[in-house]
Amino acid sequence: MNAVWAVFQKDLGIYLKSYPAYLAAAVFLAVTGYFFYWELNYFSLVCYRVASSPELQGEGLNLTDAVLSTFFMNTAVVLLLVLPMVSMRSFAEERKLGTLETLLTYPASDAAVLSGKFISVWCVALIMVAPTAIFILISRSVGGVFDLRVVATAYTGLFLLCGAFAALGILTSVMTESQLVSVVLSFGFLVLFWMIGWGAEILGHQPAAALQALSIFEHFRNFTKGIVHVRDVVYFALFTLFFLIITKERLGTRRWAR
Amino acid sequence: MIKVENVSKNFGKTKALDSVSFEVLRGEVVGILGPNGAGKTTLIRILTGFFPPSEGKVLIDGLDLSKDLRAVQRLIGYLPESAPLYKEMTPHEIITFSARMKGVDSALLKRDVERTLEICGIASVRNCLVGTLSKGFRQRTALGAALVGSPRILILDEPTSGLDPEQIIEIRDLIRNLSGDRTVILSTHILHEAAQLTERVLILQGGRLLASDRLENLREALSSSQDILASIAGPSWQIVSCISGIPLVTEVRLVTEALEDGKPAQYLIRTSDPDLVCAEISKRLVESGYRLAELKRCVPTLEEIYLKSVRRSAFQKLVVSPAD
Repeated sequence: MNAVWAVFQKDLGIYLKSYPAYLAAAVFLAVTGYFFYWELNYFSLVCYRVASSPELQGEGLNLTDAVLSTFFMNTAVVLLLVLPMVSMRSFAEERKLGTLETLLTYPASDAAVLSGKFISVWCVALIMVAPTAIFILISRSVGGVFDLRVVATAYTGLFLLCGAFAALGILTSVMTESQLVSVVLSFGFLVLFWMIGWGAEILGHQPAAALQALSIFEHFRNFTKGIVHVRDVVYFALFTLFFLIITKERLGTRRWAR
Repeated sequence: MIKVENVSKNFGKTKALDSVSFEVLRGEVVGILGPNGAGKTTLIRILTGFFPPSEGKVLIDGLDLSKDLRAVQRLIGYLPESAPLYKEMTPHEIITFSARMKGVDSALLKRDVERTLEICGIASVRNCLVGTLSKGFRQRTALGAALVGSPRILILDEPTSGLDPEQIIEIRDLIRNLSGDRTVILSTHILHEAAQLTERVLILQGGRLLASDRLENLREALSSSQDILASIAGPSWQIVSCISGIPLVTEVRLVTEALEDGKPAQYLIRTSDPDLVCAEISKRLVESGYRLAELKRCVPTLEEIYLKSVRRSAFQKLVVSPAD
């Protein structure tokens, strides 16, 4: 446990001292902020049209559904682009610097080193995501009324999503010495898992259901609607665990290889 | 302390180490010499548990590396080649991190880190980012990371590579002071470094251990040709003829001509008994009226020892264990 904590603190400290992490966070906030503003603006426009047209009753106009759900889905997409840039460092950078050899010859298990690294990437992702709450607070301060239960479930979903993305990103970081290749692989895999259920209906009911069961998109969408299904939580937990186990195995194999 | 038994390591079809066996005693300082690709780093990586051997067994302090990896790693402080460090961290942070990874008791951690910073001479730069430090300070920091936690075995892979002459001297002094009662294994390709820092050398070539002995013993063994070098003034053909007549002299050869008349020329004399022949040469030359400027036995330089050793076939017999 001491080693997990030591690796976590070391990695988090390095992230917080490196400007690319701040750049990634700034880009993330700027893009998600733009999305939030755009959704809110569009919703205002729709409300205005509805208010100026008496034949429209304004039914179905819901700030939470119209703005928040879309905002959180968009945030997940931005995370899909940005998180590989955070996770790419974890092992690829250690390998590039030559510090991986030192790290793996300490009297600590591979699992402890991996856990420390995973928690630090997850933490950085959460630190990036946390300030998005400001958008909601600002909207509330000017009269926007959101369903706070949906806000809570959506952030729970983002919490789990960040863990899953971090686990997959760390795996690609172990697979290669190049940070660029790690980013590309990670992004590719995440897009695949995001889109895997799209248009699957053409394959028939059962294959579509199977592919949708693997889709991050399908499982995350429920959280943005204020629904927390056990199966969605289990999906993210298993997704994360699965990629961490593969990473640990891969780490061992690479050590033995050379 | 360290016992390596028939260790081999294969990377695919490449045999990086081939049945290497040796022992290192407690408190001994041993150098690993060898050209690039000799298997030095592979051997060190096996000793540190970075990867296991394909064949063979490594026992450290009686513990089998393959069975008690973590326990063995607790005994070792390791400085990899080129002293890799995190540039965004300070020496204090790096040494603290290393101590925590080694499981140093939190009650002792602060004191141990402070002591290491002092010993390694980096207390003055403890809060500077490593990326801003000179190569010498970085090397000291990496050495501190290996040293913290008071490991009983220090394994240093090319500890002075890339340093300027002044820094090399500083780091060598530091290593000399650190060794104390520790067992130190030092990989280097600088022969004088091995001579200065180590008591015994292992010479590797193509993954095979060619020699394992003290440098003096290697010198002795490799000077078995019993050559004598003599500087004598006088007509060379007469001198050659005079010395050739001495019993037990097998060959006399002029190796360096005299620079001018009356100055000595150098002769190489090959014999089976240099002590007896030296005395006889002096006597005969004095009797013949030739001026003997210098007479000495040829002792191979470090470079000659190394080069002769890596010509494996000629020195296969030198492979001896320290127990021998």
